[in-house]
Amino acid sequence: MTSSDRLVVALAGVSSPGYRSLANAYLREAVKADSRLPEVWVATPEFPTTTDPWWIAYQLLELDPVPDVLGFSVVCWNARTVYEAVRIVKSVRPDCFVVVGGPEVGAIAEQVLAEQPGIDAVVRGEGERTLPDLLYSLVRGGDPASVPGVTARDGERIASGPDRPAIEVLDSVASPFSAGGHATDGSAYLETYRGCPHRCGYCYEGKGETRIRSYSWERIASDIEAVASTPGMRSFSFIDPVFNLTPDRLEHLAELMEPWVARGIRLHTIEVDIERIDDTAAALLARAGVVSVETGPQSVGSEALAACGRSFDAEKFAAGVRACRRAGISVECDLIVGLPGDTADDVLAGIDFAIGLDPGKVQLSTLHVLPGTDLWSRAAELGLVYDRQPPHEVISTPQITYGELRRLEVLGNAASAVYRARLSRKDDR
Amino acid sequence: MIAFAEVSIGEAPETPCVRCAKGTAAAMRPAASVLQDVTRVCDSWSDGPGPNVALVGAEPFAHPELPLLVQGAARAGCERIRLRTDAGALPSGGNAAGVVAAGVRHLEVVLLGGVAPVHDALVGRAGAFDAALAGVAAFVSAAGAAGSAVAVTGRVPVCRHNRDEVAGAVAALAAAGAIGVELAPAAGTALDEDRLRSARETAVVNGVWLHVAGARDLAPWRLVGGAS
Repeated sequence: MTSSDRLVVALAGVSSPGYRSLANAYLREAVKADSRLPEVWVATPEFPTTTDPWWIAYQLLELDPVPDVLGFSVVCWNARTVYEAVRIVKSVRPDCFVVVGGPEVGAIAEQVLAEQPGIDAVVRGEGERTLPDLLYSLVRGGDPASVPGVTARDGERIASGPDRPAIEVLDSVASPFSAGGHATDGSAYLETYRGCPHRCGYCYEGKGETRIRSYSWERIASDIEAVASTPGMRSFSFIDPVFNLTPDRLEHLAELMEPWVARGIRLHTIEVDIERIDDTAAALLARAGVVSVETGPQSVGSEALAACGRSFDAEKFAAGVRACRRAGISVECDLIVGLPGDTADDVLAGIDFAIGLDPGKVQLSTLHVLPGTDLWSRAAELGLVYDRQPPHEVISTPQITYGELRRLEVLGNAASAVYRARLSRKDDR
Repeated sequence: MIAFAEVSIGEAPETPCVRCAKGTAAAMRPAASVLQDVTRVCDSWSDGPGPNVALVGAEPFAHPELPLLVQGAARAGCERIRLRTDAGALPSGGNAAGVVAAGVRHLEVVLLGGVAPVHDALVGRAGAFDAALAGVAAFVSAAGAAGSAVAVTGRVPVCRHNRDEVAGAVAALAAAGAIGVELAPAAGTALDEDRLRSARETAVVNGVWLHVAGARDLAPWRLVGGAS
């Protein structure tokens, strides 16, 4: 599939407008750092999710040098676009090896290969070790399906290598930031750890385990410096599932950020566990330059909370919102419509609760039953009817009909817009 | 949901339908009197996020002191200021940018029909329909330029002359960017179940919330305690 002295890889990102795939940046550095591979050229073209797949295919087919391997990071939002682009590319370049990875495909690798004939392999789980191993296997003429963490075609059959354990020492993953060029103002995201202490049934973040794997403080400081010192940088964010994971950690992050905050850098859209935020924690967030946080409650209905494995204490939640507002931090309260166990009245109570807190922003979204999540594996048991095609939106639940779901979406979006339209106040961001 | 206290800026007929209210002239309230009501609302606000006022009654752009009213409401501490209007004056003379700069964040646009011939005939002014839609566009554009979040909603006063036009008006408001529509049946006007269902379905498929004034409907906003 390639000459042995040079390997050309294109890792294409299909992201929300203005954003770039962080996963592809990590993968690019991992591939470039692998000394087993021959000379390797890695391109990371980016396309907004609004791009026509035919135009994506055109640009990928016009790449010079022509890629031997084409990779996509797939999430529920871009899956249809990616699959369509792959179909077109593959019909022009059947010799191009197409590999996909990401949360949309890992848990359903065999199904993806069965339904998408243009895709040659799926990387399951973290890709920073698996993709270089897969490329090494390809240049040696090996069997991709024998690579740990890979599911691939083996003639007419689909075969899977063994699961690959999660990367234990995250500092061994090459930084996408130290090389420069990835961070752009407003849309740069860093991670300080992987994993999540919560196991919310609708979420893929923890990937089934509550173990936290952290980068070292030296690495975190280095990544922050690389991003914050990028010319033109004014604000960025962290993708950590819970920024205030522990009080000590929050304090340390505030210390690391403080010098950059003094230079005008701010953090936006930080995910927090709001019920653990008091005035002390809010002050630390402000010291870290945080201007806006995002949080639940997702639902206030006890049955839905139980079905999703979430806890919710209305008083603590409200106290956390008030503490953030006192510190000048805007709060976005997120609600999900269509969770199992929630009735229409529960959803309305959630909207009323969130707006009643006057947090700054209230966002209602419809449940997506994502592959690999607990709700996905229990969908039949819970009576969830959802679209098998990405983005896997819920169609009905035992408690809410299809029509009610659509009406609740409309009502929730209108309420959110009416709430959001107001004269500016101190914590509006 | 979000409450707005209604504050009347002047007397006006229940519906702008000229066939229902021929030749009724609007009587405006002085700004000082209106702002007294606004201040009272702000001082006693205890109804969730706010205070919020909806300036209703007469056409606001016919009020000679509209800038004073809006600026005064903002100074009084209103977080959300809403205008009920035919929107026809918004495309002219910097009105759209002016009301956004002064503090208006909510526009409630009154339509009687979903197409120009119907709406224009019912309000008695040629070009009123197109001017309303142009007004909404001007308001949204001005807000975008100012970086201000705004919400456009619709109001359809229903009388016996436009009962069959309600779904069309909802569709026109949705196309103009409204996020919700309130149907306001005039006294003695019943909206039958078929017409109401048609309006509701038109709203939902266009992503717009619809409710009926005075009914025990859910609504993203509610108008309370009419002052004056």
